[in-house]
Amino acid sequence: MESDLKSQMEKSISKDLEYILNYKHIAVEAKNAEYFSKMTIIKPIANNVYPQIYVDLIQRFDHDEAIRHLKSMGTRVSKYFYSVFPKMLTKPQKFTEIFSEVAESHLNSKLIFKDKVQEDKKLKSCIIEVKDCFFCSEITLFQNLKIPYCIPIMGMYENLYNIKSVYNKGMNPRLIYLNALKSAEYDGDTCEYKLTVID
Amino acid sequence: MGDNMGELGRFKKLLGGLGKRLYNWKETKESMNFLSFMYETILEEYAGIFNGDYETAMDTLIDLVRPMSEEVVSKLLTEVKVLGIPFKTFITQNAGDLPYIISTTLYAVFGAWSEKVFNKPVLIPASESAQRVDTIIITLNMCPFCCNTIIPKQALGTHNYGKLLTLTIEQMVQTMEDYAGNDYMVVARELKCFLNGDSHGELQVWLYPRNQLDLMEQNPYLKSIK
Repeated sequence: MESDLKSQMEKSISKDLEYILNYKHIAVEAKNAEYFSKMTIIKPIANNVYPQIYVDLIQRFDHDEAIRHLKSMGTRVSKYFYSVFPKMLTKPQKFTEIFSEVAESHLNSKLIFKDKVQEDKKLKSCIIEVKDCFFCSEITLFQNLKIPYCIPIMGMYENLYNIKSVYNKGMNPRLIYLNALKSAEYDGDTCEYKLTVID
Repeated sequence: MGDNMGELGRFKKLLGGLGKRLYNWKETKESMNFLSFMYETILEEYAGIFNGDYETAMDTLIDLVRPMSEEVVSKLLTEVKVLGIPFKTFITQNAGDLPYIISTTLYAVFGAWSEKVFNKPVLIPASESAQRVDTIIITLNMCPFCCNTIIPKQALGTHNYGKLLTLTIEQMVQTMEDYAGNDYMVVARELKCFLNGDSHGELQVWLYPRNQLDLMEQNPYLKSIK
C-alpha cells in the first residue's frame, strides 16, 4: 500500500518537475507572476470562488474521489509556485521553513509543528496546526463537513515539500504524505494535518 | 468623449479617496499570486473532469461562482462603512460618476496596485458609443490573472481568460445601477487580453436600458465572446 503511494507520488512529482523546468508563460506582455508577488486582494473577494467549487466537487463525486480532486487542485498550486519562483526550489531552507514561508507570505497563515514522532533522530510523523487558514478563517463554514474544507491547502503543502526534496536529492525526509484531520470551524479555531514520512 | 462630469463634488471625492485607502488597509488581504494560481488550478481540474474541454470548464466555473459573487459584491458596495460613511453614498444615478466609483472600488479591492494595473475607466456616452448605450472602457496595463497561465487562448473557445474579473466588474456596476435606481442591464466583456497577444487588456461595460434590450442583438462582441 505504502509502496503504491510512493510510486504514484514519484510519477506525479517527476511530471511536475518537467512542467516546472520547461515553464514559459504565454502572456508575456502581461508581466510575469513574480512581478505581482507583493500584490494583494481583499479576502472577501478572493474567497468567493472556492466555496462553490468545494460544494460542487463533493456533490459530483463520492467521498474519496472528491478528496482526490480537492487535493489535486492544491498539489498543482505548488507546481505553479516553483514555476513562477524557481529560486524557491534551490533556496536552502530548514524543514519547517519550506511550509512556513509560503504560509506566511502568501496565505497570511501561521503553522505550528507539534507532536513530533522520531525514530533514531529521524522524523516519522508530526501534526501541522494551521492558524488563520486561507480558506477556513473568517468565513462561515458549511454544517457537518464530512470532508475537511481546506484539503487543497493541505495538498499544496505536501507537494511543496516533495517537489523540493526530489529536485534537490538527499533531503531527509525524502517524501511526506499529509492527511487533513480537521478544518477550523470557527474564528480562532485551527486546522490540523497529519504529516507522515513515507520515505 | 462625453462632457458628463458627474455630480459627486470635490469634498465627497476626497472622502472617497480616504475611505478606499482605509478600507483596503483594514481588510484582511491575500496574495494575488495565490489567487491566480487557484483560478488556474480550478480551471485545470474542471477541464480534466470534462475531458480536456476548457470552455466547458470555464462555463461551469462561472455558473458556480456567479451567485455568490453577486452576493459578495453587493454586500461590499451596499453594507461597507468607512469612518461611519457608507460606501453606497458615493453611488449616484449619474453615469458621469461611474468611472470614479469604479476606480474607487477597484482601489478598495486591490489597494494601490489597482492604479498600476488599471487605467482610469472612461465613460463613452451612448451618443458616441458604437453600441449606442453608455459604455465604460477599462484598460489594463498588465494582468495578474493571465500572467502565469500556460493555457492557450484557443483552448478557451469563446471565453477569455479574465472572465472572472469581467464578471466581478459587471456585477459591481450592476449593483451600483440597481442601488441608484437606474433600470439598466449591465453587460461586460473582455475585448482585449494579453493572452491573445494584445498589448493591453480591455474590458467594456455596456449599460443597456431595460426597455432597449434589443440593442444587444447588434453588439457583435456579445455573439463572439462569452
